[in-house]
Amino acid sequence: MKKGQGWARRVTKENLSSFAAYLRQTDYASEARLHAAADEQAKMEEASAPSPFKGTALNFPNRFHLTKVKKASSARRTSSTPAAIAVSKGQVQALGPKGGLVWRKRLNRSDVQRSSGSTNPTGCLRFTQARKYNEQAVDQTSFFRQDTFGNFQWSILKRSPYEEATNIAFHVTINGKAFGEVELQVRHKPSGEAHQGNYTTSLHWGKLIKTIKTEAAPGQMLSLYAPRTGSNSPFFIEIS
Amino acid sequence: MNGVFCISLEGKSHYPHSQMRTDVELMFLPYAGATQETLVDVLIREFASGKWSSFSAAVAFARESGNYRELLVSLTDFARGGGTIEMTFGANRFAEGEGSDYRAIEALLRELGDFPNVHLYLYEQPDRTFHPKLYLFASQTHALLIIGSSNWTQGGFQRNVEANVLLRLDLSDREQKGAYDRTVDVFHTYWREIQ
Repeated sequence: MKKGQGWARRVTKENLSSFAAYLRQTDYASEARLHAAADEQAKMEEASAPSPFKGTALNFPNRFHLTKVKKASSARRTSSTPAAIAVSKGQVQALGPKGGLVWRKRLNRSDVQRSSGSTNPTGCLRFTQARKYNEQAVDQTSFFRQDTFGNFQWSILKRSPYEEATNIAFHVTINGKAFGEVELQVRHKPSGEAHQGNYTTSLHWGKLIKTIKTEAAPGQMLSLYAPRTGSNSPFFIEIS
Repeated sequence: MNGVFCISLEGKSHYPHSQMRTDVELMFLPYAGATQETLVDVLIREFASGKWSSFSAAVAFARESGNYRELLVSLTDFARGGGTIEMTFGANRFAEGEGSDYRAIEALLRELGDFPNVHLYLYEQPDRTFHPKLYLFASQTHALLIIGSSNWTQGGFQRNVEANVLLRLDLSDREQKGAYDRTVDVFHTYWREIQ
């Protein structure tokens, strides 16, 4: 098979299981067990670490305050790509107080900047309604902009189509490697809501883009954790 | 012709100084007119017609919902009667949640996997989505080629808004045979990429 070329294989009763990784299994029992285990872990983490996202709505000041500037602040921006350091799970937890799980998503090719064909990489992770959490579907049109990141200082990025942005610090860990605290831009575009309900808020990988492309893979799970209540720590992104 | 909306297409073929005349049927789902015939109806009817000796399909996505019981019975009867079946489905695991269902393939193999004249294939290319929707019935003298938008799903066969072209080819006609051969070549191209 030449590089870049596809493959076709005859599939039989005997070898079907070897193709399992290439086929959708969303209704499959193993997938259900996997999700159930992840949900159980999330519940345990939430129980042990009180989260501001548990149950009631948040009451952040200045939730919808907008400053009339062209671009979001780019403070603390550096040009270098963060270096990876291998740490244990215990070390990661020791790096900062991590709160409850906010949201999870099974990453697709677009999220990890592996675009198809002539499509350019998006440069971002789309905050979609990918997973239900706490047995409630996430309304992606408001959950991230208002509930999750509502207390940050949002700026008008563009007026037509209207788009807001804010810069937020995330502690990023990919496959056990900690990439430290990275400031990333989160954008919210309400006009996206009319387009098949896809997404309206996105996380732009910025200087992490090369890291994401090389370290993360489609099919991996991204978990977004809030800072622990009362702490001054960043949000946490874990990909594994 | 049993179709919903039938026209006779007369146009220039890819052969110079000639014209290809063939029967063309357009099927717009769900606007199937008085007959309310859907693509799955066409497939079942053609399998049962006794006219065809082979069936090939190259379809992006197969879902369990597309494995209608009547369709599986028709496929099985066709295979049992000696008809050759070759079907290729996309294994586009990471294409935004698309791709064929494990269970759909499993069910097809359960019904058809023991027939030596039935071959199922999966196609995967990391940076390109396998996206054709081709269905081809053939005999020594005629062929029915269906090209359109319908996947092997309940939506594609029956419920979605879909558009398909049904081309009935007379293989005794040199040009129509040429079109048929080109289509068969396309199918074989997928499989040639195997090795």
